[in-house]
Amino acid sequence: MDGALPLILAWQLRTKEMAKITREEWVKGMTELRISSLSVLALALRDLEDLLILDKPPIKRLSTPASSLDGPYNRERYFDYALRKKEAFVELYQFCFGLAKTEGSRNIDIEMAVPFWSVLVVPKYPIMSDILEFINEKGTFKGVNKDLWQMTLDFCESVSRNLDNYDADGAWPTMLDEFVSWKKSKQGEKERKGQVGGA
Amino acid sequence: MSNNAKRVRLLRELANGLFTLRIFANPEIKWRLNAAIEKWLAWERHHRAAHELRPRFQELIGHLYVYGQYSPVLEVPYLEFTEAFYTAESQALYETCDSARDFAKECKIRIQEEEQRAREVLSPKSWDEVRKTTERQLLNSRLKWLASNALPAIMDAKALDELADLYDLFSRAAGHKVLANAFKEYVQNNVKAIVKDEARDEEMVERLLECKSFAETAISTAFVDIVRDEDEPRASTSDTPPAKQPHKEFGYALLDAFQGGFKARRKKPAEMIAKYLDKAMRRGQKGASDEEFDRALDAALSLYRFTDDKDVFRTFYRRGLAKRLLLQRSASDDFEKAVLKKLKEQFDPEFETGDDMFKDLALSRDMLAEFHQKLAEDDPAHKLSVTVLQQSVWPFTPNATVDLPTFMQDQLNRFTVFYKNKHQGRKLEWDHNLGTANLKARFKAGSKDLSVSLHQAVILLLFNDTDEISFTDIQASVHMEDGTLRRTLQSLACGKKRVLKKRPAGPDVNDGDVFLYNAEFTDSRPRVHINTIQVKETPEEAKRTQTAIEGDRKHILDAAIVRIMKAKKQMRYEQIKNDTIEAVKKHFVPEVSVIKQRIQQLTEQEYMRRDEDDMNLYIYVA
Repeated sequence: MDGALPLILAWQLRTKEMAKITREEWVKGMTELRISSLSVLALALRDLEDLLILDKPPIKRLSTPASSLDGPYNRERYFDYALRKKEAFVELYQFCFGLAKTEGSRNIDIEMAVPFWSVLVVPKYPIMSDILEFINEKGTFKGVNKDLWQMTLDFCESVSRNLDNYDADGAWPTMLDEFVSWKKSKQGEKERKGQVGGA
Repeated sequence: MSNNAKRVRLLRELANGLFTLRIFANPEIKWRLNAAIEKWLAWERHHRAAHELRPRFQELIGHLYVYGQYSPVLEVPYLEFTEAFYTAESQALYETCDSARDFAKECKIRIQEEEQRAREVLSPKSWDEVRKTTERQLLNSRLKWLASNALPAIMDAKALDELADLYDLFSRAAGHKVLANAFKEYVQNNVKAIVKDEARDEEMVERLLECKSFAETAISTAFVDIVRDEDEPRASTSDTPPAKQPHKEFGYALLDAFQGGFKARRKKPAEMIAKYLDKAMRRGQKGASDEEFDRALDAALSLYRFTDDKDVFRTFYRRGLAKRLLLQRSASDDFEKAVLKKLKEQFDPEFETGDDMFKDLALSRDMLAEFHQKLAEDDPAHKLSVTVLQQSVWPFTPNATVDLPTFMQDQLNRFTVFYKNKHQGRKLEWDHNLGTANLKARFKAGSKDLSVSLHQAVILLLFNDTDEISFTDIQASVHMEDGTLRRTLQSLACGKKRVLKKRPAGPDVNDGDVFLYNAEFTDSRPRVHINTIQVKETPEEAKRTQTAIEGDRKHILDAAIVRIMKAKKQMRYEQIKNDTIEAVKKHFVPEVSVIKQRIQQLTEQEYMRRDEDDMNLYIYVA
């Protein structure tokens, strides 16, 4: 499994700890989804990845009225997500913050947040890869609190990649403000270089 | 008779009317007159002298008056030619003058020439119009250029007369505002350059004062209007010189310029002003009269108005004050109190008066007298001087420890017993860092009184028993903090007044060094003060103070934000930001990004939270 798949699995099973699934969690999850083989599990996870991360059109129900027996596994949950894709993604995204957080801490380490962002957000919103480049280049950020985690997703959703609809007076967390000024100065540099080249 | 007179008048009117019709309405004559006026004016303006035919023009004007033709035939064309000439002249000057300064000088002369010509040739009712036309055409389209180029050059050259001329030109063109803006720009750039010149931080305040003083002189001597008192009869004003009044726009410009210029660097200017005052208060009047000294202090204090970092100034000023008072370095207690009063009343209502410090010192003096009174007459503790300070009032943290010689410690213990009897339940902690001592030392050339720090004294006293001690042995006997010990030994054996010798010789103190009593020590004075090395504030110390201020600011911001949120329960980010700036402005002006960081921190600590739907709305969490 690669990319967001392990996180989707953890989310579906509501696991408490990262990279660890208890027997109880496993049995409960598989029963709910009516999955009995690894190949079907792989299919179920890919379905969710296509829907929520890669933004592919949802699978159509095979029969109406809906029958829970449709398909190779129980897709009730899938069809529910398909009706409210954005909310479902936010659910997954929020779940991951809890997963990455160690007990009793308010923040997650930046070393943890960066790979999560790159598998969850980068495929949906290319501006996220610019933010990650900035975080890497700056190298001074340490923790990500709940608010920053939430606002980073909001930022990617609402601000266009060329930043023209970014509101400098808004209450964006300072990391995102700094990202914007970093990116703007970079863009300025590029333009200046472009001019010199053209002359 | 009336009939006759009427007839004569009618006849004259008739004749004049006919003449006017024939002569002045004749296009050929009209054209020739016009051409002649143009040619004459052009000649005079080119040669900058009166043309030999000028008297004929004066005759002509006489005639024109009679026929009521002065305005259409002479005045109107005269003004038109003037306008055209100076439009071109302004452009020509702009292109040929080497500098805006020269342009201004040339304009002044041109305007004078035009005024004079008008007075000599034209009817008084035209004088103003000619002058105004000249000024307008020469100056109006170039005010900005002239102000921003001529003013800095003239200010740099400190040419006050020329500056007054420039002001005069701008008054004529109603360009006060333009000139005041250029003035502001110039002063602000200077202030910025000064506060940002890190290499010359030590001179910052002197340079600012000099800059301000010259700008003030410029305002009071060059940017002035003559006040005409309407009620006064004309005759009396000729005796006394006319009153002059600085144009107020320039006073405001100066304040704006300093306020703006100070923003170019945070904190440091406030620190340097406090230190400048510290130096002045240590040095004292030195021959200056009370008034002069007062003025000098006022000038420095006036800079305090311009800094946003009130808290930085307060911190550094208080530290300086505390050291001056405690170590008796202040030139005068009265001046100290006067300055503190002034600071509080005129500059900063938040300023603490320092009354508590003076009270501590006075109480200590009384208590010490009482302690001495109870001693036997020959008790050596008569020489002990102790000052008891309340920790909360003084900006010192007692930290350095040193083992005092037993006889010293004994005396201190006796004082402690005396003190505890008076004030039960209080805790005394000794800050030997601030202690001083006077020693009598015998050298080959004679004995000297040494005025030293307590640390220096403790080390020197070891040499009562032996002439030579190693570094490690000294350390073992006095138990001083390593850095302090090395600095103290350095001051005794490597400084200007070497009462000790070091083996091997050298500027630094090393572990293997041995120290020897320097019997050959000589000095021209009977009383020798040996400077300690930490008397001057070290860069680390200044940095520590700055960091402490930074920490205080965080607390002040957090407290302000929580207070605001608690009162309003929910608030938009923009409003929180503005209210917070307002709430702390008497201490400092925070950067927006810092406020944001504090909000983030408080959100993380769950004092408040961001609304789920509106990212700019925050809600107080009880």
